[in-house]
Order: sequence, then C-alpha cells, then structure tokens
Amino acid sequence: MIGIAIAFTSGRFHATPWGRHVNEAAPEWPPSPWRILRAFVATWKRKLDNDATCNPQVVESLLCKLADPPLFVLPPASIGHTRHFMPWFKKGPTDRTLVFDGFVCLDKALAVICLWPEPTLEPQEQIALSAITSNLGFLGRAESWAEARLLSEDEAEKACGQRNCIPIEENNSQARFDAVRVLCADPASAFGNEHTPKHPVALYDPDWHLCMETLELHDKRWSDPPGSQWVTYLRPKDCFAVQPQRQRTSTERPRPTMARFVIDGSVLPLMEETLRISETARRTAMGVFRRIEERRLYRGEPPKDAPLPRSEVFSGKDANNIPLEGHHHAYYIPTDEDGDGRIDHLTVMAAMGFGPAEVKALDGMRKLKREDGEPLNLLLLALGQSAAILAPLLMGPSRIWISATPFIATRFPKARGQKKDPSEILGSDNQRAFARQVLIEELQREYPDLPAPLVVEPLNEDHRCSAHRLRPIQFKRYRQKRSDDGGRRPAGAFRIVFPEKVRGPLCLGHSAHFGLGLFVPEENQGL
Amino acid sequence: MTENERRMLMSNGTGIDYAKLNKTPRLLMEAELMPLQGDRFQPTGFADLGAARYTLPDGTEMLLVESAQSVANRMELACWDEANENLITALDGLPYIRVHKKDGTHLTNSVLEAHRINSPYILEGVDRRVFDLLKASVAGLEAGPVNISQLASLVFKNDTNTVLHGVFLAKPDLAGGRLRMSRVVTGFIEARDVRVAESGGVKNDRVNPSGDTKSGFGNVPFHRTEFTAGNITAFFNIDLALLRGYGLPEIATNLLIALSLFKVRRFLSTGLRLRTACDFGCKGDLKATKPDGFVMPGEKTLLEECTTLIGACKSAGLFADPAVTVVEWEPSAKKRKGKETEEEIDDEKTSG
Repeated sequence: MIGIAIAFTSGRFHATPWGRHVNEAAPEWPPSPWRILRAFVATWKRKLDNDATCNPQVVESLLCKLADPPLFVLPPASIGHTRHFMPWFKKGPTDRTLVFDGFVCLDKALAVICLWPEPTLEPQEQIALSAITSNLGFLGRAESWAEARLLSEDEAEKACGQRNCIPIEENNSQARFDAVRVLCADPASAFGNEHTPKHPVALYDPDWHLCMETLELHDKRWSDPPGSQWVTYLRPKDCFAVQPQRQRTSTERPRPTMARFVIDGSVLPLMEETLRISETARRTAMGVFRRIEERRLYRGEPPKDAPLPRSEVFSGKDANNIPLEGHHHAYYIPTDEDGDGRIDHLTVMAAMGFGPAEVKALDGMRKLKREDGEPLNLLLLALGQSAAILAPLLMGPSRIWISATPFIATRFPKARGQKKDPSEILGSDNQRAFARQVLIEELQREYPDLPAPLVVEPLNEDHRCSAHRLRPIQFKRYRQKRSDDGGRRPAGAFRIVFPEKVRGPLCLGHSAHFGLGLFVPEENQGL
Repeated sequence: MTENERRMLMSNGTGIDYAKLNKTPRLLMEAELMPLQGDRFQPTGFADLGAARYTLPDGTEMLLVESAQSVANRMELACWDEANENLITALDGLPYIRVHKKDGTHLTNSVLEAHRINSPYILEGVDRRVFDLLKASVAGLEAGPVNISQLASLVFKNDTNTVLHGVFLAKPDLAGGRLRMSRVVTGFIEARDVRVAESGGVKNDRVNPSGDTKSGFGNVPFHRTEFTAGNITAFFNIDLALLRGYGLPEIATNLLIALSLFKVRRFLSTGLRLRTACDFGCKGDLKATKPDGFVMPGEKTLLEECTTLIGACKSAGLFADPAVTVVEWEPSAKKRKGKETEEEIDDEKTSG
C-alpha cells in the first residue's frame, strides 16, 4: 500500500476543476489525482532533475503505480472565494479582467491522505517518492502552499480505515455521499506520447500526455487531456459543512440591548425638540414592529377584530396596556454629537433586550415622519449589547456628568404630611433646589449600584445646558398625551461628580425614556 | 573571484545560515501583527465581494486581510525608492528594466509592474529591444523541452526580482509561450476569529444639505465596516528547493535568498500601512517556523548581505551590463487599433 499525506500550510487549497471556468469559483475536492501526478512530475523536473535518487526510470515506474485512482481521507473543509481584477492587456495596458479565486479551507495541520491499496514501492522508488513529496511546494495555484510526505506502511493501513472519498465502483452506500467527477490518470495512456507536440523533437521532458500544457490543450481543442479519464467518486455530503466547536462562553446569545442610529435630513431638529423626536421614534418603532408582526402572523390584512401586535419593549406596556414596572423597557435618546445644537443621533436602548421581532423592527426603521417638517432619515449604525458598542459621548466612563437635557422632577414638593419636604426646598423660589433633591433620590433609586455622588450641583447659574446653552423652559417638556404635566414640574440642569469613573448612559427623571434628564460625560463639550 | 574570497563571502559573518537552508525544501516564516491604534482595521476589499470572509470547518471566522498578489506587490515596493524612482541605494546594481516616455522621463519599470518583465510596457511597445533580447536568448528553447536553468539565468541576468516573484511569458514567439517560472517567495496576511465593527456618520454639506450627491454636494450618510480579530498573522514562504533547482551559481542563489528575506523584513518594518484604516505593527519578531532553529537575520544585516552579493554577482558577470535596461514606451500600431478590432473571446480557462 502507498499513502501520501498532503497538508495545506496556508490553510487553503486553490484549484479549478478541469472543465469548469475559473470564474465559477467551483472548488476541486478532492484534489484531482491528475493534478497530483502532474505536480509530482513538475517537482521532480524543477527541483530534483539532477538528484541521483530520482532516476527517470525509477520515477516513471513509481508514477505508473500511482496512476490508478486512489482512495482519499478528506479532512473537514469549508469553501470560500475572493474576486480581484487581474491585469491582462487584452484591450490595452490598463485592461483588467475580473477573476474569481475559489478555494477550499481546511485546518493547516490536517492533511489530505491519498491511498493506493494495491501497489507497493521498491526501495529505490520509496526514496525517490519521498524526495519528491518532501519537495512539493504547492498544489494547485501558487497560493496553495503544501507539505507532502510519504506515509509508512502502518500509517497508510491505519488511514485506509478512515477513507471517506472513494471511487464509486466500491459499491458503497450513497445515502451519505455525493457523486463527483474527478480527473484521474488513465494508466494505459497517461505516460504515452501519441498526442504530445513535437516540433520536430518532443517539447516535453518527460514526453508524456500527463505533462501536456493547458494552453496546448486549449489550442488543440482537447475537451479532456489525453491520457486522462474521469472517475466518479463518492464524497461525503457534508464535506463542506461548518461544524462549530463548542464555545467556552454560553451558547445562548444574549439579546441586544442597544441600537444606534445616525439621523440625517435637510434640516436637523434642534435639541429643544428632544421630546418630540423621541416620541416620534417610539411611534415609528412600534409601527414598524406592528407591520412586521402582522405580515408574519396574518400574511396579509389582519382580521378586523385581531389584536394589534405590540412590543412590550418598545411601548413599555404589557398586553393589557398596563405600564411595565421598572425601567427595563426602551429609552429613546436623541443626541447632538457634533456640538452644533442639532440632533444628529438616536440611541434606543432597553435593559430587557430586544427580541428577534424588535431587532427586525429596528433594522427596518428608515425614516422618522414628522408633522411639522420633512421626514428625517435614519441609518442604523450598531445593534448589540450596550457594553460592546462604542459610544463614549453617551456612555463614558467618566467621574463628572452634566445635563445634556433638563432633569425634570418625578414628583411635586410635599408641603404637608409625614413625608413633608424640608422647607428650604419648598416654595416657588426653591424649585431648582427641589429638583436637585429629587435628582439625588432618583440616582439612589434607579442606579443603586453606582457610588454615592460627591457633588450634585447646578450646572450654572441659569441651569442652561446643551450647545446652545438653553434654559429648561426652552425645551419642549409636555408629552403628546393628555395627562402629561411635564411642563409644570420643577426642572434644572445639574452637574454630578462621582468619586470614581462610572459608565452611562444616565437617564433620570420625568420623561427619561424620551431623552429628557440625560446626563453625559463633562469632557464631551459637544453635548 | 578566488575560492577563499567566495568562502569569506558566505561565512557566518553574514548572519544567514545558508548551510541550514541548503538542507530544507522551504523556509516558512510568520509574524504576528496588531493594529497600531485601537483594535479595528480595514481589510482588502475585493471586487463585488468587499471583505473576503470565510469560515473554517470548526466555525472559526476568518478574514483574508491581504492577498498573496497584494503582498507580492508590497514586497516589490519594499526595494523601491519612490522619491528617486529607482531601487533603494543599497540595491544599486541589481538588474531591472526601466520604461521611459519619449521625453526620457520615467514611466514604469519591471519592479513595480504587475507582470514584471512580462509587462506590456516592456514587451508590447515599438521599442522591441527587451523582446528581441529574450527571443535571441531563448532561441534554442523553441525545439524540445524548456531548459529551466537557462531561463532562470536569463531572467536573473536582466531582471533579478522576477526570479523571486515569477513570470509567465505566454508569447508564441518566445519558445511557443512555454516560458514560466513559479513564485519563489509568497506571503499573505489573515485574521482569525474576526468580528465586525460597524460605524458610520454623515458627510455634511452645510451650504446645501439637499444638494446633488452625484456631484459631491449634499449630505451623505455613510456606513463603514471594519473588523476586530483574535489574532492577525502574516505568513511567508520561500521555496528553497525551487531556487536550488534553477541551478544558478551559489552566489546568485544566496543573493536571491538574502533578497527574499530582506523583502519580508522590509515589508514588515515599513510597509504595514496597508490602507488608510489599516495600519499594523508587529507584535513580537518575525520567526521561522521551518526549518527548526533557523535564526532570522535583521533587516540591516540582510541589506548589507544583498549589497555584498550584488557586487559579487556583478564581478562574476552574472548581471546584464549595464544592469538597468531602458526601453522607450510607444504603443505599437497594432495595439493602437486595439479598440477597433474584435478581441478574442477566451475558451474556458481551466487549470490542469
């Protein structure tokens, strides 16, 4: 038995099967025995022609023994391809043609094993074949770096038990196999020379059909090289199946919790419009979600009395229209990230994560339609876990956080009762102080894991914030729902100093889910 | 050159262990790379395809950062002084072919041309001196098998760089189009365990955001896809058996080895800014993975060795004289009419 192992040290085998156009990017798998024999001849003549161990009679004799179609042990593989423009000067020096380069990917350490069960090698043939295989540089295109070696008898016997690609004549069950035509040598004619060119002497050394140049074959219109034969092999159906190995981390993929969009339009909205843009974003998300779900559930017009599909994550309400507890549902956060006072980004985030339908909806959000202006265009930049998304303008980390939009108190002052507020923060003159107190309470309640702040102070004398230094009253603070009283609540702009760097985003207070009460790292003057 | 002089030339003082390389069919090297800043990088973009991603059988996501063709171009560039439009000074005397315009200014050359000595600017113009030189030199190869040693000597003499990067002279007038030399030195860069890093922004037009984007006006949101990777590795391969098979004199073979190693070193030290958003540095040193124990000489040592061996090859008459062959580019009449004639439609390109 003869066994040869060929490892592809670049991890890829690039070769086009005979009879296929290179731009089909069809992979040759297994490597054709015709190609392997030709590679051995080329290695012998180019690298070992003067080597005493590679006597022409010895080499011819061993190649004849390898002319029968071998069995293969094929390692796990997958396929890929690249495309590039190759210079070829058909129409001029700058002419290029698009060329596909298909390849088979495999582990660099795992070899393709070729086995010939019947023949045995004489000692001289063994030495010669060993020299040839160890000098094989590549197989196929020059990118397919190869290292080949002759197996020992024991190794070949052991490998034979693992054969998984064999000529069809072996009558194996075809249930798990695909039939594939592979170009092999015809032992009766591969080493003949009836059709090799002679001008007037033989052009090839050795003068074999096996050595005929591809250009010569094309020129003479050969459909198949003389000296070759097609053999149908059975190849495992899943030979290119990707079988991921078990990962160390959890196999269940965590739900994405943040989506980032860039906003574009002929006139971008001012930061004062934060609340409006957020509400529009929420309506849009819910609308896209509903349409996607209706298509999925009803495959067309939903029945008249069918419940409207609604996302709890986007709406913040359950199936009975009751607001969800906690703040794990979506925040819609418009931001000005280039410091011009206009909204240019939108972040949608939800601690409870976005399910598959929400992800589709976020991906499908293209425009924010406005009643009072042209639609704004949305471009999804990132969707994933918030910790994995790069957004330092929003997320920090930082010790000092300042208001990008006004913080609005979540309650009104208590002038009476057991939970009465201290007098110094009661009254119309102390509304900013009251807002500050509520901010401290909200920090403790909503972000219990953060260290207690060292300082919570007004951002400046007039509580102005954002690039245009707007006062809280300049922001739209009433939501577009009947009962909303956000505009009447105490509000202010503040600076929070923590003892150590903390990660954001920090969204606090009334309408925090709609971009108000947003705090950003102080270093980011753009906000 | 006396035998003593030759022995001194190849002594251990060169830093290249030629003796070790003589016993091995190939030299495999690799260098681990990393983005110089941050973790993201932009790989080669292939036509229609964009990034060349593929998946290994075990599910590992891979990315071809730089193809073999591109690395070959960059290794050729490693020897070139762009400012002076010439080889770097230390490689002065290495044969190559320059192409000049009619006014005598430099147009291109065999070092930078994609197909090297087979460039149409060298072989297809009115100035046929290189073509005629090749034809005369390979006159004996038209009948009978190609004498690869003869071809290697000819190419080494006139365009040494081509011996390393290969050539396919598919011209029927040149030994029936059978003259070809495979690559001796190859390299590529791949990234393992890759993940996508998406970003983007808007190109703003503060004057007219709704301007005609086709003419460059208006706001244009854009999307950028970059990658991060578990590791990024540059791999190199020198086919030493092929070099030895050319049967060139020992100093010529050693020059080709030294030049190959220098190209690899130089590419890694100066050529890793592959594109704007892809600037790598080496993490650790270049190391030889085969043969075991081969010590990689440094760039300075290799360049000095190349300078020495260029001098030795010149003294031994192995180079063309003068070393630089100049041809003038003027399209031939047949090619000037190229647009009017029907181009041939190739039969299926198959490899066998």
